Amino acid sequence: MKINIKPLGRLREIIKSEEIVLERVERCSVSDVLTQLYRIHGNHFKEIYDPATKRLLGNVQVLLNGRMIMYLNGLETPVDNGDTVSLLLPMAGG
Amino acid sequence: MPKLNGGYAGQLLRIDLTDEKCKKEPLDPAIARMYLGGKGLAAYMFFNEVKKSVVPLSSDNKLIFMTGPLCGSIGGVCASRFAVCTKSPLTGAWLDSSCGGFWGPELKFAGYDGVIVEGRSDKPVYIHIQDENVEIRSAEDLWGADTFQTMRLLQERHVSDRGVRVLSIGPAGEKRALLANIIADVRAAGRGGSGAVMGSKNLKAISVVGHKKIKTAENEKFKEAVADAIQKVKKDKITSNDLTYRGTANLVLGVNAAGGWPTHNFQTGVFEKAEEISGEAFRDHLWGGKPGQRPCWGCIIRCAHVTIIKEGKWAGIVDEGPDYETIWAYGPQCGVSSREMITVADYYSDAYGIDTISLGNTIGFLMECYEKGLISKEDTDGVDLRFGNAGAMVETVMRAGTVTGRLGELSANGVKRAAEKIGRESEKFAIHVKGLEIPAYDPRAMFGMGLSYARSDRGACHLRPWTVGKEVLGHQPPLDPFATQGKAPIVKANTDIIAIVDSMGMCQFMTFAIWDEEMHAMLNPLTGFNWTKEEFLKIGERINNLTRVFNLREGFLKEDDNLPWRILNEPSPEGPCKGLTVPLEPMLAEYYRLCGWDAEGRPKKEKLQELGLDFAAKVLYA
Repeated sequence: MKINIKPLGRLREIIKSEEIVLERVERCSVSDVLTQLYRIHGNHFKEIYDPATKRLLGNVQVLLNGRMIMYLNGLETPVDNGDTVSLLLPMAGG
Repeated sequence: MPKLNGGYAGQLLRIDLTDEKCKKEPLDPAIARMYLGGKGLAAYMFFNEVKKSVVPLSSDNKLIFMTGPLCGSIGGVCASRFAVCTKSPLTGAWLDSSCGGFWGPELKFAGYDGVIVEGRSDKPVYIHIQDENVEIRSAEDLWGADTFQTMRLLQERHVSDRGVRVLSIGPAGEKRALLANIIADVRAAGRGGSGAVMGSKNLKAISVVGHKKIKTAENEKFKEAVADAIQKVKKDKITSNDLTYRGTANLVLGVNAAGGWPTHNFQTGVFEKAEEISGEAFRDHLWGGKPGQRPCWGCIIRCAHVTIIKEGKWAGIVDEGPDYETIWAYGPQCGVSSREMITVADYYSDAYGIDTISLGNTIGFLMECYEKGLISKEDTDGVDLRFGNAGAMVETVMRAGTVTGRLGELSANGVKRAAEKIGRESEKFAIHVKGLEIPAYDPRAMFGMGLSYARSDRGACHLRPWTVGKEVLGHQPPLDPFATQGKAPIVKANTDIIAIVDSMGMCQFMTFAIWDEEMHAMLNPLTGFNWTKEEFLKIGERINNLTRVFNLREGFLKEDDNLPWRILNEPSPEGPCKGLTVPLEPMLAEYYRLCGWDAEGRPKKEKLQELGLDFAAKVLYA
C-alpha cells in the first residue's frame, strides 16, 4: 500500500522534501510510518521522532488526513492505503 | 490624578471640514489610563460624541485616526499601528481597522495622538500636518488619482527632510463604494468601508511629517522590557523565520490540510492547487528566498514582501504583498491558482483603495451566482465570471475599484447587498456576519473561528480573536477544532487581549512571541500609569463591552451574532471536517455567560458598572 507523507512549513526545509511516498506491505500505525521514515531519512528525522522511545520531538504535530492524531489514537492510529500523513511545526500568519 | 508622563504626544487634532477649522485639544490622562489609545480611546470618544443611528455616509458621522502610546516610541516591537474608527457604512456597526506602515508613528512625531475628522467639505480637500502647522488644502487636482499617485504627488509637493507620510483613498472611496478602504504607505485600514466615509467627507488624503521625540516615563525599565520582547521575537521561529521568509501565507498548506481553506465560495475547504499559491511557492518563484523587503516602522518580523511581475501583459507591476488573506480572496475563493494574477489583483486593490478580503469574498459569491444562472452576462457587463477564470477575477477587481458598470456596482458594495439585489435564496450562500464578509478560514474546520466570527464587534473578523493556531496549526495548548468545549473561554480572553493590542499601537503579529505579561511590562514604564496586572487586563474587557453597547444601541440583536446559512446547514464535503457544520449555539451561550452578559447578549448592569461604563449602562438600563 502507498502512504503520502507531507512535511509542511519549516519541516520541508528540515526534511528537505515536499512529499515522500512510502510503500508498505501491510496496514500499520503512525509510529510504524515514522519509524520507517527515520530509517530511510535518518539525519533529517532525528529532530522529529525518536523510534527508541516512540516520542515526537520538539513541537511536531502529526496529522492523518488533516486530523491531528492526538484526537485519534495518537501514535497508534492506524494508517491505510492512500492516507496522507502531514507533519507540521506550529505556524502562524494570516 | 494621572498625568501623561510618556508614550503619548498629549494632544488630539480635531478637524471640522464643514467650517474648515482645525483645533488642538489636550488628551485627558484619566481617559487615556482607562482606554489606552487606538481602538479604545476612539471608541470612548465616538460613543460619547456621535448620536445613535447616525447615517454612516452623512456629515454627522466622524472618522477617527488614533495611535496608541507604544506607536512610534521605540523600534523592534512593531510599534507602527494606528486605528481607523467610525460607524461602518457596510455593516451599520462599530468599525475599527488597524493599519501599519509609517503614518501612525509620523503623526506621533508631529505631536498628535489622533485626528478626529468631522463634518464634510464642499469640495475635495486634503489635510497637511507639519508639526504645529495644520492646513486644509484643495485636493481638486488629486481627485480621481489612485492611492499610489496621490502618495507620490503629495510627497513631491511637501518636500521635507524626513519624507512626508500619506494616507489616502482611491477612486473606490471617492465613489463611496462600501468596500472602500484607506491606504497608508501601501498598508490598508482594510475592512468595513472606512474609505467610503472618508470619501463622503470629500477628504482625499492626510499627509503628515513631524520632528518630535516621544518621551518615556521610566526609560531604563522601558528599554529592558522592550529588549526582553525583542529577544523573544528573535527566538520564536514564527516571528523570525516563517513570517520573514514565507510571509503571511506561510500557513496556507497547514490551513488547507485541515480542510479550512474556503474554496469556491465556501463550497469546500480544500483547494487542490494550494501548493501553487502557498508561501513556499511565492518564496521560491517570486521572492528569491529573501526576507520581507518592506517592514513597517520599527518591525523586525518583516512579513511584508514585494512581488514584481517581470513578464507578460502585467510586466512592471510592483506589488507589496500579496498576503495570506488576499491570496485566499483572489485565489481559492475564486478558484484561481495563478500567483501573477492574484498579485495583479492585489496591486489594483491597493491602487483603487478597496478591501481585498471583502471583494474577493464577493467575487466568489458572484461566480457561484453566475454558474447557477442567477446572474448573466448582462449583469456582468459581458465578463465570463466563472470559478477559475483569473482574467474575469482581475477584471472584476478593476471594475469594483473604480465602480464601473453594472459589475462594478454589484461587486463594490459587498456580498450582503449583492445577495439582496440578486435574491432567489442567494442569501443562503452570501458568506458574511453582520454584513462583513468572512475571511480565509472555514469555521466548519475550526469551530472556535465560528464563535469568533459570530460575535466580533465589527462583523466577521479573523483577528478578534484568531483561534486558528490552537485549533489546527499546532499552537499550545491545543484545542480540538471539532469540540465546542473550551472555545468560549479562549475567545473571551483573547478578544480582550487583542483589544489591548489594537489600542496600544502594536502589530498583532507580536502576539506569536509575547503576550499580556510583556505588554504590561512595556506599557507601565513607558506611560508611568502603574496599572496593576488586573487593571491592565480590564482595559480590554472595558473596550469590548463599550463596543458591544454601541452595537446594541444601533439596534443589533442576539440573532445578529450568527453565521451564514451555508456554514450552519451545509456540511463540509471533504477533509477532516467532512460532514460537519458549526454548532454555534452552545458556544455562544457560554460566551455570553463568561462575559457577564445576559442570555440576549446584553452586558449586565453590574458588569458595566464594574468596568466604569456607567454612561453606557444608562443607554441599556435607562
